[in-house]
Amino acid sequence: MASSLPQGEQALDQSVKPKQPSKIAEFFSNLSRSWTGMLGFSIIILLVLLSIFGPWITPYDPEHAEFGKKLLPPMTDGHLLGTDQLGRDIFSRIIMGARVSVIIGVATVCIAGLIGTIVGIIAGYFRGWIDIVLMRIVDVQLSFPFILLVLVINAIIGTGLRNIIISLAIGGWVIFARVIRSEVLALREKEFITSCIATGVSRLEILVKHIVPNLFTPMIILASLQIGTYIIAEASISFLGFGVQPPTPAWGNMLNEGKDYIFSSWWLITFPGIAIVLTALGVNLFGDWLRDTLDPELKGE
Amino acid sequence: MSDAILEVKNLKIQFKSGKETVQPIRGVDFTLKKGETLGVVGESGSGKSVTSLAVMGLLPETSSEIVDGEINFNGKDLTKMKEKQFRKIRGNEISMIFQEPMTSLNPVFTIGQQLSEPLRQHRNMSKKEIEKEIIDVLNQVGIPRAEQIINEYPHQLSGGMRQRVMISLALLCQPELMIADEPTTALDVTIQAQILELMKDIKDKNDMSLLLITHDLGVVAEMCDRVVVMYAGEIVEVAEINELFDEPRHPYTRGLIDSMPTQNARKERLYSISGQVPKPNEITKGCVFANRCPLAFDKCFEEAPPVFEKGDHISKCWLQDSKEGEVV
Repeated sequence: MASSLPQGEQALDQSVKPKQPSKIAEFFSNLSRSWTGMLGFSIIILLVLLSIFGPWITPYDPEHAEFGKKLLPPMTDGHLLGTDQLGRDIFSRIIMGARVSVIIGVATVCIAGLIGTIVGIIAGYFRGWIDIVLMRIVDVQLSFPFILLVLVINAIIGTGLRNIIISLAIGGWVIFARVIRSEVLALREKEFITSCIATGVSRLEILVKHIVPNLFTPMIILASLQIGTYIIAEASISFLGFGVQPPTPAWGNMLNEGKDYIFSSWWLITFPGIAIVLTALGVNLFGDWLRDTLDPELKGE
Repeated sequence: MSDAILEVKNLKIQFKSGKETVQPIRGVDFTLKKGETLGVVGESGSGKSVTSLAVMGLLPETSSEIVDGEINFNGKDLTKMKEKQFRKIRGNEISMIFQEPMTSLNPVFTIGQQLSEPLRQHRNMSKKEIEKEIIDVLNQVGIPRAEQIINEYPHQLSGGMRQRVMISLALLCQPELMIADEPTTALDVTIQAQILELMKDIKDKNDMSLLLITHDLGVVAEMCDRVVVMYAGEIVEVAEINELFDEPRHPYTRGLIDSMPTQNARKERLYSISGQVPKPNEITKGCVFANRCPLAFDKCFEEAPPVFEKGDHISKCWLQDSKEGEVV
């Protein structure tokens, strides 16, 4: 504030920044300023930890049925969240269910994101007939309800973890294709791309070295928001009896099995439900925060 | 064509939009001599930028086409050149400075990364040499603490600084010809003056030729040796700078000069040329400027004027016909 430096030097002094803080430190200092982002991030970290260390945390074997102990209410007999109709520990099953959700969410986003991004880049950069063809395919697919489409594909290729990932990815790539295409369309008309051509850079090099790096931000934002969608979709499909098959615990099929006991034993359906809601909430909160932080338009503010 | 570095001959460019075609450039001729600064002036829509993009080969391939004419650069016709050969010239022998410094730099790369691009394309240099060269050029364009700037991102720089970066980008390979498309339009006046001064200096130091596209006659007076006045896709007058301001031949040029604010006379209202530049598809027969020309007579609406030459001073106006003395 009160400085002995003359005006000019002071201005210069301010602009000479100290060594920039590392990306990770910057990330956390940004995150700590938003409690919603922090909450979302915490839920995600918790979920990831649970899915990695699940087998060591669970107090009971999640697939071990013990008929003498069936339908125990929460907090009895050492069962924190009670037991289900086959006497399996619900707490353990929820922890193991996290693994299914995380695997499906992440794997689907990777596959759908990769396919959708490639299609979007091709359509947006090369335009012409290939753009028309690809985008009409996307339009056609978008006219089907997402869950219905996934169910149909699932019914054709069969159930199971791998197949549910495949069907979710087939249902989900179109969103990525649409968003990435429009980003590429906007980017290729930017003056810095013209200026690149004017410095003698080839078209392919421009695409790979100058356009693709500009796509990382929208890709990360979209991916983080889509993970939530996929986790919910998986739960819906498992609830309907497709998808992950019992006895493998997944939140969706726990809901499905528990729905018959909804009036007598509420805990069967309540806790997996809460797990799904919290996960979707966490991922979306984090995604929202990411969008606000990474959006270059808001960056300067 | 010993001393001509760029020769544009009878250039005609066509744009397609849907089924319609329009011709925004209809027969443009001019030469740029070595070491010269040639100004191209005209209103918005007169085809200045399209002409400059055509020289750089930057016209959108899908919607535009050079129908006729030649663009000779050092004796080579650029319009017939293959993309691959052209790439060796772009950024190397001809470079371009764009209008908008705010959007002309890629936001995700540091200044250093972006400036190394032309050198990596056209020169065989090691990383160290590239960095040294970049810092050299940045110093040349008057950027302080260049060693730090190269690690910064475009959004950390001001408009004037970014335009300096753009100029250094254009300078890196020491081109023979630099095209500047309204390089100072987006900057505020004090920065404008600095940037113009800088470009002038650099041009003289590096013995370059400069094609300066602008709508600002003040800038032209400051910078140029000769001026090309464009109107609605045609060249209406070409003259040496002093002659253009002292003795404009074409009524359009006169209108442009009259509509400049002057310091000594406080006019009630600034003079303006009424009407607008006709859209390329509205042009019919006769002189393109006839409908806005205060001096137009019957012949102007009937027949397009040919080129009247008087020494180096070229103009396209019927008033130049036969009785030259009458026109002032």
